[in-house]
Amino acid sequence: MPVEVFVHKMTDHMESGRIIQWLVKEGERVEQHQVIMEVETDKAVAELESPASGILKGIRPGAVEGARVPVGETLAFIAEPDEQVPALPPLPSVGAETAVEAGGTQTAAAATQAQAVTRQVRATPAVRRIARELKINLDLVTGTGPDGKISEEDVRSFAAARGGTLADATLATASPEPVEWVDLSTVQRLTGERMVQSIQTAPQFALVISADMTNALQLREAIIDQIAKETGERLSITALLVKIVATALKDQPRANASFEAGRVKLHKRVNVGVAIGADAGLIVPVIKEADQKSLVQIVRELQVFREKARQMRFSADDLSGGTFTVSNLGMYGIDQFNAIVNPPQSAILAVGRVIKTPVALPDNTVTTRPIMNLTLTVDHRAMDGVQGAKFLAEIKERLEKPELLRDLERI
Amino acid sequence: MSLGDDGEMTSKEKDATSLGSTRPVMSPDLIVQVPQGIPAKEMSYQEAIREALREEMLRDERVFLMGEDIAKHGGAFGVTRTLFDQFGPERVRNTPISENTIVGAGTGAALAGMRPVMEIMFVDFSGLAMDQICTQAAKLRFMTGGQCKVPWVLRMPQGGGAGKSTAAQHSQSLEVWFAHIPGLKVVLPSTPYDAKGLLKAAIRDDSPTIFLEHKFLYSFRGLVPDQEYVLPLGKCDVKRQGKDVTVVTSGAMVWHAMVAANILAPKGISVEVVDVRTISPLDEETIGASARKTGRVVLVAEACRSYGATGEWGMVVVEQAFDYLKAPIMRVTGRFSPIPFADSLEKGVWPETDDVVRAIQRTMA
Amino acid sequence: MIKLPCSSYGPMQMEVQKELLLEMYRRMLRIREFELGAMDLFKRGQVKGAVHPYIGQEASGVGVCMALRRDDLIAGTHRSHGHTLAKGADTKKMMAEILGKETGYCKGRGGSMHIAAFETGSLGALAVVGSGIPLAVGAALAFKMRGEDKVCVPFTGEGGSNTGNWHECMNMASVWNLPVIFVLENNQYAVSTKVDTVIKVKDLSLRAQGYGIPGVRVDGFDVLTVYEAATKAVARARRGEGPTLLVTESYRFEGHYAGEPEVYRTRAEVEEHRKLDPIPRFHKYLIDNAKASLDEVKAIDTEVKQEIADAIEFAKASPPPDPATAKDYIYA
Repeated sequence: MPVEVFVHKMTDHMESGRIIQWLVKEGERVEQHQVIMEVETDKAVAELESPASGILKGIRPGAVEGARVPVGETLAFIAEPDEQVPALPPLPSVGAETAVEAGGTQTAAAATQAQAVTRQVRATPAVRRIARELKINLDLVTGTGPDGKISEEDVRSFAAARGGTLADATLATASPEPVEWVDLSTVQRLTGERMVQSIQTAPQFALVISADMTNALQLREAIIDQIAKETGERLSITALLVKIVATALKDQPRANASFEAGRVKLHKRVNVGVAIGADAGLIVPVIKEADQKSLVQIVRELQVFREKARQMRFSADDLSGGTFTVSNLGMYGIDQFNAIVNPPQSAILAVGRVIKTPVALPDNTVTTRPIMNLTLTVDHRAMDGVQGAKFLAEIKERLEKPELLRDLERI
Repeated sequence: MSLGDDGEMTSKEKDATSLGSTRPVMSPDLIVQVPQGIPAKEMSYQEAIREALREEMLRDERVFLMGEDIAKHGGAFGVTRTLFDQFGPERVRNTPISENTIVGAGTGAALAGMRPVMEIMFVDFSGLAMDQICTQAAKLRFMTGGQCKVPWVLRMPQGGGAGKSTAAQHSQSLEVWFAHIPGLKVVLPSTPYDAKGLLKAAIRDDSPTIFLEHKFLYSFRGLVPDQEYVLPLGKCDVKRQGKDVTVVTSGAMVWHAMVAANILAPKGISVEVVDVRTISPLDEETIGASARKTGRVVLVAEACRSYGATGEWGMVVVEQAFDYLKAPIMRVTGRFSPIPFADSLEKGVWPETDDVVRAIQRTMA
Repeated sequence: MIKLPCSSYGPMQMEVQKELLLEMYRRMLRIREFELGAMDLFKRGQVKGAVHPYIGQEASGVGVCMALRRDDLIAGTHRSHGHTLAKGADTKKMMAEILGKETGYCKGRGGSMHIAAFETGSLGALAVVGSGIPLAVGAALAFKMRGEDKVCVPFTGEGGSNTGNWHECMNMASVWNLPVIFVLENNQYAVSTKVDTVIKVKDLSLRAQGYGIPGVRVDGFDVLTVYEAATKAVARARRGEGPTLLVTESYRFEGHYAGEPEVYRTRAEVEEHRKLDPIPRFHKYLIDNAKASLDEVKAIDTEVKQEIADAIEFAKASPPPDPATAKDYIYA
């Protein structure tokens, strides 16, 4: 019985993928789980494995390099050498990428909503004409009327605030500034779209806490050689953080959740995504069930992810299922920053560098300690300030208190 | 006519301004078209029409009148009174009850070089003559490649109100029936001054022209210059200048618009009233210019709502002034219904001054 | 088979000049050849719309129009190629109009059903049955008011005599004593409807009685009888004695329109009536009564055929109207 080959739903709300290339040819023998195709999803390049062993037959017309294929559509068959396979009709055409994946359930609805916000700018014809004359993009103007209706005053004050029309007018007549255009990679573009959608749908606020890393760094020193022996890797702050965050998430499930259709969905598993910068853009591979994993395992996984990031060769599984994200820019010298929540998650932890900072001791003398700033950005629909504060406080505690750090020694 | 202290009409005034009773209570002062100092007489809309007929019949012996009861009797609405005595039975002809042939014979006479002015007693009876009006007269010049012309005028009273309960078959406003036919001109004057000047123009015009007279405006009075004058067909008349809202209207509704404008002026709303006057061909430029000036438009017509003149005027506003609109175009029209007899049902079937005021206020919001 | 009445006037009393007789023959033949030419063009797809041939009725139209002056007016129907030609219209301009050319009488704006030739006193073919009658009545009113002795002749069929137009006009023309000759060409069929299924009275000239005017019924295949009756009616009108109803009994040999499958009558019936064909009948009359020589008649035959051939040539070679002029003549 021929087995169908089709593109799986590889990320939460994927509806289609783009064939990058077939790695085997029609008539070739393949083994089960052998990678037979590379598919570009909305997140990265994914590998499609053969569902069975046999001969690859009956590749569908249109299932070629560059073709956009719907999830679930049969593209070919794996069959016995003498087995007949049905002739498939040419692929149906897929609409333009519904690239923006929504948080929660909103999916395409939210995506079009994001675009719709632009399209449904409320302004009378007279106001639009004035905006055209003043060279103002109405998408950028905030309307003060009912339902955000833009009035003539809104347009004029926007124009005045922006430095007025004169500048634009002269711009139009003066010679243009020299520019260079940079194209975005798919990942960059999609990340950007997801961030827009995140900002527009989730009300986000940030909580900042600073952790005294003295004890944590001491611990790290204590186990770094051991880790290196096991993994060949230097134990990073990030790896430590993943473990600590995962434990805290297990403790406070409210932070390990998503807002969906008016309710909060608590995830049973703690899957911590780690933001990794690659040439193609920011990618967030996920360490599944991080709370169950040892430090060594976490370090190893991070190592593999970094390797994969160099060629953007992630599997669908690598990139999906995250319930929380950790982003560390300390290695770039950043003191502190606010990250944007990664939908459909409801919180993200942004970490800065460890800074030797003067601190006041209980007896009011001053000394220096290694201080690290942690910023938790939270989707207010899922968690309020107190809940967020409690979670952040626990992370700080786990970074500072020796008795909690000791757990990590059991690497 | 006085307004209450706060500019609101008293209920007595409201009753009166529903184009009233036999005697209108809308003062001639409401619409002043003759400048001070020009020698003029105050006369009624009915008299002004008669004067136009008289003058044109004296001026051009090809002009003659045909219709039912227009001779000695002077017409159902008295418009042609005294003309029989002055011009005799040949030129003021009573006809049998044959609407189609009144118009058909008028058309034939026009083809043969005469300039008949025919009367059909109520526009509601024009249905009997539609073939001759729309299929023959309107198209003869075109079909024959210009070999002939049909220089007639067909006068028909239309409209309802004034508490006269003329009901379904004697109260309609049917200007759009004719406006939809290329080749016909359609005129609907609102004042004695306009009626006289436009009728003279229509009689002198070489195309078949439908001249609609609002039967309850016959008694409305206004100044008419002593000196002869002719008004242009195909031009609107801005009866009142304003800067906040444009009201486009015609016929009896012009009076409601003028009262509404007076009510709203003390409240700081400056209303411009554009009297269309010639329904077809429509003066799109004047409507467009006014709409561009104010950015807000209210269309007022007595005829029933659906597929009426306001639809056409609205599209003209869109075509001419879309980028200047500050609010959606609004309309105030008659109810889409045959006109009932009972007072309780007839109430609200046509626009009242109040309706116009409210519509203007809504568009200013 | 239609039962032909005797002429109300009895045997022919008029003496008709030879020139007039030959002209009658010419005009009848001209109509016949024109209609045949038009039908042929239509069958070849070169004429759009529809043509309604007058074939078989030539004597009726010619007999009436020969009794009229050039400045008298006629108003026609959809079947008015015959009337307009009988009144003296130019075949070239008519053929060009049928082909929708700029050189047609109506500059291509009217087509077959709306051909007007004002210069020869034809107000036009009016395609709505009965609608042309009021125009003739109105023109007659104008003549009377101006004291002119011109007359107007609206043509209609027996079907048209049932319209409100016809009755209103009969009434108005009679009560106002207008110079109108109401010609009712009873060709027995209104499209597919036989006359006796829609009119009770058999002798249609009796309808005149209801309006207080004389009614006359003649053999519509006999051009001289028609001519005589028309002459008397015209004289009556010019004297100011008012309208006359002139009924010509005729038959159309072709369908209501060219190419019609005539399912409502038998081939046999048509063939029977073809025996009454006015043109050979008149041809015979002319020769038998030594009114004209065979050569003279043959010459007319040749000339007319040539005339029609020329007209077709002219029409085909003429340009269509310029689209830039599409909005001309909407208003005066």
